[in-house]
Amino acid sequence: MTDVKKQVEDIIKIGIKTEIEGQHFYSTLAQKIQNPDARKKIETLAIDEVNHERTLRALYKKLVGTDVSELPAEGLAIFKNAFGDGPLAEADKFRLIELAMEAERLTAKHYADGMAKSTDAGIREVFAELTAEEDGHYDMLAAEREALRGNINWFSYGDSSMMEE
Amino acid sequence: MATKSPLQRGVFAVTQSDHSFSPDVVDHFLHPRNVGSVENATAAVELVNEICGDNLQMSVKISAGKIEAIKFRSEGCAVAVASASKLTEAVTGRTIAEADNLAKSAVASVQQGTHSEKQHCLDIVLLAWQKLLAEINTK
Repeated sequence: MTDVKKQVEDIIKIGIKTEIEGQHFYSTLAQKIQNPDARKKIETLAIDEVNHERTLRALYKKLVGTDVSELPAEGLAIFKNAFGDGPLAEADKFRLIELAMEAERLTAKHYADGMAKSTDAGIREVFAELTAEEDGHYDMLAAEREALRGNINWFSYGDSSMMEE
Repeated sequence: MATKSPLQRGVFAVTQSDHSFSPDVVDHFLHPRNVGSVENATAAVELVNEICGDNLQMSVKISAGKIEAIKFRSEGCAVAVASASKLTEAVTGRTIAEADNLAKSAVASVQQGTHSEKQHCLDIVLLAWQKLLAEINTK
């Protein structure tokens, strides 16, 4: 096996584990959000991460010829202890959304790295699209963060004023 | 006509219908039932999936021969969360004898939309259930 192929293989494995970490983070966050519009957006991100995991598993099979036999213990591990032990305060929404933005930025960079290292045009194309999707997630989260600077609540929705898109 | 991307074409199984989750499974992933740990549990297990490293905890309280409460915690993927959620929902309030088949059916219902490569995510949920049963039977 060439070094480059092994590197791409590892990028895919870490990507799969990172997508699983993202599924857990976004689905847990969505369950805590009372604001229905915001909750829907975060649920969409959770589902996107499920699809990304599937894409990466298929990509691995295309590259290696077998299913992934074992994943690393951690992906990019950006969401570790994101929620803590206590209840979330409204102010936590900025910390959590910025954590998610950082995760999307690093994941996009991870896939861009995969694209740069891959020699197969089909694999490069998939990495390119995954990079674009993670960039899209970042932009969506950035827009949500700007909306939150107004009078919009996540965790205490009953206290918020009229929702604005 | 715009060229479709690999994801849009479903080239990498993203949108293949045979590997799409049912709305029920998506609902259990996004809104899992019985998350947490049971107080004064009759039996409790914690497992780590050796293939993907995911952790699963499950605990159960038996009262008057029935499953009074069963809860789980998972930092795993959608398949692991949905199957654990469906299993706990299916067996709550049932006798042990009734519960075993219901548990297997609940997990099998998630299997229908799951790629075989993710079988280990279903297996760990059933293994946790079997270990709970074994622990209950020793008491």
